[in-house]
Amino acid sequence: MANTFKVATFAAEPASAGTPYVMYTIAGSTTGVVLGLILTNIHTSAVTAEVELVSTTSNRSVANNTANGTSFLVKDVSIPAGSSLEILSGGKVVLETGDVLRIDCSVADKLSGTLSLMEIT
Amino acid sequence: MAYIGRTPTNAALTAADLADGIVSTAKIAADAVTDAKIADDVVGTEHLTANEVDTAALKGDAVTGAELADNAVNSEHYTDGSIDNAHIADDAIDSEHYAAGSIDTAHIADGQITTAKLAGAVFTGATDIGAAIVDADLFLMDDGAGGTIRKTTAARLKTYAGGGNTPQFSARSSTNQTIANNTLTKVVFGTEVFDPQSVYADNRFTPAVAGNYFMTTSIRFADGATYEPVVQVRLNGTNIYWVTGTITPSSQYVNVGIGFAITMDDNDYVEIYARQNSGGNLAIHGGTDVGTVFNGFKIT
Repeated sequence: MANTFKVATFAAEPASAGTPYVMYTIAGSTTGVVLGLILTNIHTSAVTAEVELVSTTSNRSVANNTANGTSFLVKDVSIPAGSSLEILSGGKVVLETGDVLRIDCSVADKLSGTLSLMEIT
Repeated sequence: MAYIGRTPTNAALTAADLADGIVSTAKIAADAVTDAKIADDVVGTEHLTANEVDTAALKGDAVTGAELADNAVNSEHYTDGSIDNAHIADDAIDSEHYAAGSIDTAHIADGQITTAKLAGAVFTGATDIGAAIVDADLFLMDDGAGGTIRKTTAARLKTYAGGGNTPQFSARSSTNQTIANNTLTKVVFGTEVFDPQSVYADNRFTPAVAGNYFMTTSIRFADGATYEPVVQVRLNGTNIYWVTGTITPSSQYVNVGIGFAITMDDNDYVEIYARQNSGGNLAIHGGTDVGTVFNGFKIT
């Protein structure tokens, strides 16, 4: 089992408001642990942002035995102009193979982001 | 989750808090957008509902000719009596805009109607009558020199010019009349030969029309002793002419007469008197052929 720390960044996304930008996809036979995510408003006025975890993992042997869906880590959270939002600080989010982190913004190309995670392979 | 930098608060939003293009119409209260919130010259016609702009929304004198479509203003938009001379182009009104019979004399300047503007049937003086003037022909005249042109028949001209020499009369003595010695006696011309204007009555001529008159009278005196026959003409009872004959020898008649012209007013009258001094009564002769007559007519 190897642990690898990684960072994924983007300068200005999404390309179109309402069409989430795919920030990171967990590779096969890999498990990811999100250590932190910082979203920065680079607009001159406040924007709203959301972070989605798109999980395709299904039929695991748990109580409800149902497939995962898409969850919002934050939704329509406001980020004032000149400010950043640090999410997942403290708490951790585990990502399984094929899971995807996406971000969206109320204004196109006005979010800059930094994702820190550790991958276990 | 923590913010780095400013944290959203419940404080009133500022323009900086709002992203471009995020305020939709659902977020604006009814009647919330005032004039002050609308930039100059940004409201285009696509923002006006058809037929929405009423007169209250138009500034006085704001609509100029440039805002009116060609041929759009019709007569229902004119106030009665509102079109004055200043709004009619020179030479713009032609005859199709006159109601038949609507041009009265007040709208024709003095001296503007020339002969060329009169129809041939109207008097122009351009063609000679080519025939003798008859009574029914009409002449134009300025009535009383008052500027009113009237027509008159040629017959009236004859009367005015004296062509008919009227009024006129002729009377004669039909019977002998006795004249007392040395007494001026009014002569009776008892028979009217003609008197179409009825100007002779009671042995006097009253013309009824002022003018110049010519009259003649002749009286035949009977024979007798030598005496002086006298004929006197009186105007309004006053002697104006005194005519004497020749002292006659016995057994001869004599006619004493005079022709004279005088100016008379309409109610003046002329009478003829006779006198003789034979020493007794003497007759002046009357009859159809004795020449005791009194005639007159108007000259002018």
